[in-house]
Amino acid sequence: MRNGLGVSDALLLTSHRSDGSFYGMAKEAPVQKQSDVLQGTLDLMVLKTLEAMGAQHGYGIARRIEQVSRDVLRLNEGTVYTSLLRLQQQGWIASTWGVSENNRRARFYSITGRGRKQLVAETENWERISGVIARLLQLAPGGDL
Amino acid sequence: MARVSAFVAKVRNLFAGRRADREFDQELEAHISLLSDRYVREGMTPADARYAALRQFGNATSLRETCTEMRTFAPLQTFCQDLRYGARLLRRSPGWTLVAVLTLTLGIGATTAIFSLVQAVLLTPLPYPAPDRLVVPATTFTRLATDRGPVAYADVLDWKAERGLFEAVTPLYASNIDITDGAEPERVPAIRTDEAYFAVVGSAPLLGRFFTPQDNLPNAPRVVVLSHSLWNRRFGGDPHMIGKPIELSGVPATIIGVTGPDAIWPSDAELIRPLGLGGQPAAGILRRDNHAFMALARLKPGVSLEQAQAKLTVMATEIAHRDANRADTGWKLHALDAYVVGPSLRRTLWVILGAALLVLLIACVNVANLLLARGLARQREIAVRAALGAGRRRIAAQFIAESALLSAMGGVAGVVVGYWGLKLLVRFAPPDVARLEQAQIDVRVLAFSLGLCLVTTVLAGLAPAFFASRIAPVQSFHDAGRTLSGSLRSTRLRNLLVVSELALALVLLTGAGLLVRSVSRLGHVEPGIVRDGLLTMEVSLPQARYATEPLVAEGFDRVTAAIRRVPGVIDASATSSLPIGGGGNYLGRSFLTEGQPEPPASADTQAYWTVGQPGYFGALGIPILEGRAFTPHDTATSTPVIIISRAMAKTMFPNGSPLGKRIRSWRDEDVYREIVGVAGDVRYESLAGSFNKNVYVPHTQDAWASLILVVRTRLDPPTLVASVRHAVGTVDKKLALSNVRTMEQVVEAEMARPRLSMSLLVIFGLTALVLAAVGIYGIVAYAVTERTREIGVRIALGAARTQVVAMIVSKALRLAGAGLLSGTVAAFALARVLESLLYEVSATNPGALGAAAALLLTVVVAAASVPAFRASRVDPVTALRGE
Repeated sequence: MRNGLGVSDALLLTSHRSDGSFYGMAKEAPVQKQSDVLQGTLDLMVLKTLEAMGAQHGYGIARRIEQVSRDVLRLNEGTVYTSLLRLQQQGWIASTWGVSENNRRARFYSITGRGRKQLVAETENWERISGVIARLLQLAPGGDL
Repeated sequence: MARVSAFVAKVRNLFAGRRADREFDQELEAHISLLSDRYVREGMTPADARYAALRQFGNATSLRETCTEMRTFAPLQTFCQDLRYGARLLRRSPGWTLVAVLTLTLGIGATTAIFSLVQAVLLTPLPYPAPDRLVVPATTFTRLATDRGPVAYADVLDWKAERGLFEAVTPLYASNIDITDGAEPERVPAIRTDEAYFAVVGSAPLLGRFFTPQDNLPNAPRVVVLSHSLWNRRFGGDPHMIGKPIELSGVPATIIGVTGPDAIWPSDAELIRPLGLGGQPAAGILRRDNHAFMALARLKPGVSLEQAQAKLTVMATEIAHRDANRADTGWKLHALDAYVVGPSLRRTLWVILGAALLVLLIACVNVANLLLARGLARQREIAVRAALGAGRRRIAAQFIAESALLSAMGGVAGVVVGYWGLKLLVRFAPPDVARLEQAQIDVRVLAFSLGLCLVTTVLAGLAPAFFASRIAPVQSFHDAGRTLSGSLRSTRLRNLLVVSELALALVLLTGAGLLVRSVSRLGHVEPGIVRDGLLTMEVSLPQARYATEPLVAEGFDRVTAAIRRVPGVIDASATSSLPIGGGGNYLGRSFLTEGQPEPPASADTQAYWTVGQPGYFGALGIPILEGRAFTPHDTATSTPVIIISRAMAKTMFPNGSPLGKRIRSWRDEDVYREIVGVAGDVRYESLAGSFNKNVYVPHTQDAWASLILVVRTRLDPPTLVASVRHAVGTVDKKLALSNVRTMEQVVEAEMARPRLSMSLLVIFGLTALVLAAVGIYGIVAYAVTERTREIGVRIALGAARTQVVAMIVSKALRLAGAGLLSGTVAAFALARVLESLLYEVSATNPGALGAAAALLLTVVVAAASVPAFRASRVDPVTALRGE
């Protein structure tokens, strides 16, 4: 059950599916489908991390997410890089080359002005949606909205 | 915004692709090493730590691919890959490729050439400022069934007063004039108009000035404006021509201006002169039934053609109420571009373009069929690809790529073919198509051809792509070992394609057949004259030296007498208008017999008024059915006489002979003339027109100064031109001959348009036939290959070879039957479009359809027979061993 489950856990965060049905999906649907759901969430986390901690390399970001999620969210750490690439293409983060803690060449990412604006907008959006979801989940069976 | 920056990043990556990949690898490696360092610190062995790090990182290869795809235009790159693969495939079977490319070349070439014509003649705006506001007001004559009739001067004055509709309105009077100074007198097309003309056309003088209202007064000094082309041609573009004198038909005038290039309408006019009707015109000019002018107007900005037409209709109705002579007339406002290109030419061009598009469609179907056939042969390869994980889209894309390659090649070759085709078209095109010579392969035509290529790509690639993307790997592997059988679905698809190809070919062939019939009918039309051995030319006696009617009559007598003395000339005469629309003035008048009350109490009879010298009937070969022709004894002072045509005689005198009766052209000449003869009917308006009612009067009694000389010769008419010119020069060396043509050329000009559309449709039809034959051949040949074993078994079991042939040909015939059936339906549906192009042939003529169907069937049988006979020679032993 361990291989690939990082992704499944992340999925379970945002959508309530039974394990069984998820497995069915994981077999057939191409990677693209899963990351569609994950994409926005992970992008938001990466942006927020860079805003909070300043310039970071991919490894650092992965560690931070691991630390904050306290092992609830296990990540295929590679997926951080698709997120970084995406954010960079949108112009929300920028990168420079630097040297890592163990003296290797590594790319350091930092949030841009546009990225900050986007983060504000995304945060509001997230809060609004999660509010709606929370209210929905509290509905008693047969109750009115 | 975000999408744009992603796009920019991708574009940058087009050039930095490799480096970006390398850097990405470095980045991942850094990450993994940091991760494994951490596990080492937690106590793992370096090897275990690296393994754990890799696991935690996830599938690096797939990540790398995903990111590469995100960084680049992946679909584009795979498409390029497909193109390269397709190119290799095409190179491997050059014969197949050649057939496919040639097919598309024909289709795209034909369509490109025709489109460039349509573009030049129909789609390019006229070269005047704001051409969409230029309109031609004309008179509709209900009885003559025309809405392009000339207008009265009073009408033009009314329109000028209508300030709400028009910015400016101008009357036009087209007349040729001789430039008589210089060595060689020259007759040029000229117009007379007023000062509003230049405001209407919207042109400013290149040199000098245009008219003022004073120039248009009856007794103003004579002034003239030169067209840009005349100024260049005759005066070498001399900038000092302004103020210089020019002699026009023997009368001096002053050159006051030169127009800009293309700033004149009608575009062939070379001189513009004032009408001289300014101030208070004479009462005769203002008569509402004096329809002597054309008009041109410029609508005010914001006034639509419909609004203006509505207002004019109201005005015309009022006039019709006031003036009985205008009872059956109205006004029609033509947009200038629609006026220049009449509805018949417009329709002809669209029909031809439609036919070319049909050819292209057939070509597409054919290439689709070829691709499909090849797709079947590649079925196993495709199945392997599918088994290895190629998606449907990916497989379909490959076929689209192949068809794109073929279309691109066909497109390039097609534009070249179109270029030459256009040159041929322009050379053989009828002379009366405006702006035809401007047709060229320009950017817009190229854009159109590019569009054609794209459409072709989709049309030709779609069916094979659809089919190939549906090949199931499992089934194909099961079939392996045996000859690959086309699935039922693909066979149906191919049959459908061939059937539609045959149907389209039938439509084109039927259309071609109808036009062939129509042109052949037209070629056998009896115009009412003997048309071989006739030379015609226009000549005008200038008023300056031929001021009186007797002088004019005598002048023409001397001219024709001089021509009659030229060796080889049998007869020569002069007339006011030539048959078959050959030129001159077609003057319509209304006639009443003696004693008949004037309208509205009774109806008048309308006929063309033709002036002729005594020898006219003999020279043209018009028979005199009753009575006599004109003689030298019909003079200005003898009894006024008239000869009427048979159609006229039948209408006015249905019982008994008209000889000796008297008629008059009421409202015009109003002189009773005695009918001395009845002449055979002649088609004056055009070859396709009906016999016109005609009256002839002797030139001595109505001495027109502009006539057309007709010369009958036993030699080849064109060889006579120089000596006739010389003979005319001996009478008056300042006379200019113009529009020198043989009667054959007049007929040819009449036939040119129908003949061109016929030739094009025949070419298109035959192309369609060949393509359909290729299609049928392909499908039957494939079926034979596929059924070799079955045929072998049949032969082994004792089937006769003829039975085998019959079996295969009958399959082709079933397809042909379906094609002909649907083609017949389509041909009938499209018949209406052709109707107006046909002369005395019904568009639903069963003969044309039958002939087309028979031709198509013959070709189908021939095309199917080749593979059928090959099948009949199948050796059962070999066929079965092939298993």
